[in-house]
Amino acid sequence: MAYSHKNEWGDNLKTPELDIVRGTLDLLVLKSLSWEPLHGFGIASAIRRHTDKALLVEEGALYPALYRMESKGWIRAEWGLSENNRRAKFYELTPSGRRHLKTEISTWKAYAEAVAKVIEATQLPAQENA
Amino acid sequence: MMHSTPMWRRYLRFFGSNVGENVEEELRFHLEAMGAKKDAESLWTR
Repeated sequence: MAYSHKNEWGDNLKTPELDIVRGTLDLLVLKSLSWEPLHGFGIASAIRRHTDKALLVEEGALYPALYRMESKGWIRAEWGLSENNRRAKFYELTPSGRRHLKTEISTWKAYAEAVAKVIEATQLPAQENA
Repeated sequence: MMHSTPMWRRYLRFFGSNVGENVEEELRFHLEAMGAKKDAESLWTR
């Protein structure tokens, strides 16, 4: 039977949404802000579009993460006007946040490569000598 | 039974008891923008 599901954005999904792996939300948010300042909805939209709707960042996770990253000095917030002339809070990457993003990307790539080695293995590895 | 509290207000529990008006406004903006996007997309897919 074909998979069919609507998420909270009303997207008709042909495959299940992926849960955001613990620890990667900061990376996704910081990377989204590396292009330009965005409001929270803009960040969630950017992640959704970049991942072809596979990843959905819920508000209950996004805003606590934004406030935490703001308190760490990785991002700063300022009220401005949205594209529809509504008052919205825009987040911007700080130099410290940009440095942290670089580290996070390196760590994530190393982790993903290590996991790939395991899932693509065709046999058990040789025993290490004791 | 239907929940009488607006959806955006239910998210405020994530921020503890000292929730400022700014947080409310930010969440309201997010959920209204999401609703507007859904409405606009449903017009195109009809």
